[in-house]
Amino acid sequence: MRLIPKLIREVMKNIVRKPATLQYPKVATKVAKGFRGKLEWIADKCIGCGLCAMDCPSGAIELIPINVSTTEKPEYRRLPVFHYYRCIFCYQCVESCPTKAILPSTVYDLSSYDKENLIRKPSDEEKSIILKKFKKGGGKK
Amino acid sequence: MSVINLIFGPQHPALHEPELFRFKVEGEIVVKAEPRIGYVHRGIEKLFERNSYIRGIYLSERICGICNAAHTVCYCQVVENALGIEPPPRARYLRTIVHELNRIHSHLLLLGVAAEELGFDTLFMLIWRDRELVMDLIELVTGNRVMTAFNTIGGVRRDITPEVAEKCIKALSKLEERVKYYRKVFEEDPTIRRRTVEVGVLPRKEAIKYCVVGPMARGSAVDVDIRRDWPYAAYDEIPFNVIVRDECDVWARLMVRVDETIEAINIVRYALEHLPKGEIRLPLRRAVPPAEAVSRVEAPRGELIYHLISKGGTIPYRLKVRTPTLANLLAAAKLFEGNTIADIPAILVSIDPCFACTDRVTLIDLKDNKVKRVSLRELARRCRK
Amino acid sequence: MNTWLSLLLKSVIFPGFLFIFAFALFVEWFERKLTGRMENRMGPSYTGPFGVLQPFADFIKLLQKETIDVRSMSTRIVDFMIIASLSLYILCALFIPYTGKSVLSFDGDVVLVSLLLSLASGLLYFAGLLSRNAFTVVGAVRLLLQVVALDIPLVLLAIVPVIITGRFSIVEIAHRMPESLIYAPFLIPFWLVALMFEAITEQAEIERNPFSMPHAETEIVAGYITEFSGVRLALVNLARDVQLTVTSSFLASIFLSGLLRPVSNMAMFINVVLLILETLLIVFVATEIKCITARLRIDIALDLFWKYIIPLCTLLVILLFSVKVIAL
Repeated sequence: MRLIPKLIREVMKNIVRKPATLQYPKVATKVAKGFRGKLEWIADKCIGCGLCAMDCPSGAIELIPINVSTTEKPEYRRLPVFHYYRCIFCYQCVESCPTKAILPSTVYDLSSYDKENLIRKPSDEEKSIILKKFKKGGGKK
Repeated sequence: MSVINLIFGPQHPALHEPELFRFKVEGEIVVKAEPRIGYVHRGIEKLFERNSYIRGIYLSERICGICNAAHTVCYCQVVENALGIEPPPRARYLRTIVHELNRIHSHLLLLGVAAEELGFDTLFMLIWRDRELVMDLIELVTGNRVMTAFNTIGGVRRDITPEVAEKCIKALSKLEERVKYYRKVFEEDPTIRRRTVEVGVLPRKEAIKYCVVGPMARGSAVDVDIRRDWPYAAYDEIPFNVIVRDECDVWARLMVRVDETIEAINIVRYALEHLPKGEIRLPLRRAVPPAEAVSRVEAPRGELIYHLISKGGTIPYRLKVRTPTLANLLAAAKLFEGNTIADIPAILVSIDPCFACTDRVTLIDLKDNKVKRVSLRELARRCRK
Repeated sequence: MNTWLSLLLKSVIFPGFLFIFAFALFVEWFERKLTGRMENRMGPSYTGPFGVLQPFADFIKLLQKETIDVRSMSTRIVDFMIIASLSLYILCALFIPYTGKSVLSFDGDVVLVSLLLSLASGLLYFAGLLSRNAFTVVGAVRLLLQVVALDIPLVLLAIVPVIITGRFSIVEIAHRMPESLIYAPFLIPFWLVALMFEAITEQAEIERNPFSMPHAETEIVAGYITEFSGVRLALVNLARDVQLTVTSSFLASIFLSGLLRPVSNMAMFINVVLLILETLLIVFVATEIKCITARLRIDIALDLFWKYIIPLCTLLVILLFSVKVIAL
């Protein structure tokens, strides 16, 4: 057993070394290429089958009947709504989706003061795409 | 001297998860220790019975965040056993790689925590700084730093490309150098040795009596390792050493972990170099026929057992999980007695406690050692008592 | 009348309270920043340039927080002990020749200051004991054991410069130290050995690793400080900073004055700066030791003191004395 602490050299070196800390808000964190970040949904490909919602372990995807009509007469389609605050980023939905309508991304800075910002509902544009795509059919409610 | 009740927890700097230990101390000497588990009971086993097998993968991952790869490997294996399928060879190798990366990260975490509990903050910071290397690797291979979500029923979800493999090998050799340095620190540093050598001695006989598992058993000269004794994934094809030490003290348990980290680096390297070609997963099967299956895995903290009963359909009938900390905790409670207050954190950290894993459902009457089933109402009544 | 006024001014403003307050907070920042760098972290970096105002911000923040009176705590006595301890540390500061002269000085104040420093720690022991919590009691008992063990080497080591210089007051020691060592170079080895022991003893005095048992956070939460909050905690923290500063300044002035001050009669300003630099040097060494060691157990530490350091220090003093007598 030696009497002199082993770390003495390393600690002396550390004084002149640059700190290992990454000052996050000032410097963006680099993430790996395949990082599982925020999910994106492509209205064009979605068929509203609901497999994603069925397989989602945390209930972050809900299939909700949404009024996609642009006219007075309401038309409802069952579309996925993403609750990012529940998402555990396992990407089971990406895997389960038969038409690859859910896209992965590496976006990781999701924090928000408002819970509403963390819910992804189909936008008006996406609604019109859906409306065009499924002119006939779709559950009425 | 009067006896003081020293209560550790549920909130205490030495405990990183809520759990309660009641110590009776005379001066500095602990005369009695009582663990009281159950603060992080989350009803996970019941949740398994309400979620499909696919959701279960991610649920099992959340039993323990640190050894999540071990939990998913075990879960997927138990479902595969029930289905009677075997994942393709490449998947088995990939599973091994992620499992071992997970072990490296878990052991380095523990070694850092051990340094912190001994009051050695610098070593803690430095180990955790170098642990980032393996965290980055896990992110590169699986897509997240901690939660791997890598295994699935019948294989794995991602493949490793040659570039990634090359990066892994490069980073691992850097990491190996660092781990070897820390091995020297743990081996030679006088203050660490004074705090850990011959502290919390668990003789081999006691270790067998209390059925301790994992590094705790191997630190007490009990030569058990599920990876070798009951090989799963690709462990039957990969050569590796089981590290056993016979000092039986806190220091030996820490050294087992340091050496296992180096061994794990070698395993990953071997697996990356000998990665077989082919499919990485079988087609998804959602339903499981009526069956009963068991799976054992050597998690970083010791032997992990899953027991599945299926009555057909897409939802398990019952899934029982036995985590390593539960096996080790009772022995640890004995270890405290006769040691000083200062040794409490050292001993506690040497069992690498993961209380979130431990707290599921067991109700044991300590007075007559009977396992009882009680209703929720009675449980509430007892808690009030 | 005039002398009283000047004494009051001195004890409140310049080498007294205000100066020590600012200097102590600066020393805390220095220690924290250095610890951070040694651990390859940032250390305080946002409040003020390089985070230098962080300890001050922490102090103000704690003053704003609610002070919780624990039912079992004997509040008045605890408060008295904390303030008395802080005042004793500041009293010690008055003996230290920051400007080249000290406010208070008499023959033999070296021993007095060594004892006062221990007494002030002893008062914190009462504060901890009277909080009557399992953690504070254990912490306080550890503190007392440690203070008792380190008191002897501290006084013994304070005698070393006395023997080297042949003077009994801190001011004169500080002035005579350089020439004494130059005229009698055979004393330098003794001086170096004494410095080494002093580094270890100071570590115990200021409760840093490897002797941080009285407030070992992973064992007994915060030791004797556990039950303090708000203003009380702010004052205890301040007392501990002042303790670090005054102890380091005291050691700097009796041991290191030869290192940076070859000339004994210098301008007041330069003297202040030099003594501060010497203090920081001692803090640097203390931080370095803190960063490379794990916390010892109290029994190991006491073993170390009673079995090794105290006999060796006694031996050192006897040897030094005989050498000095023979040389004369």
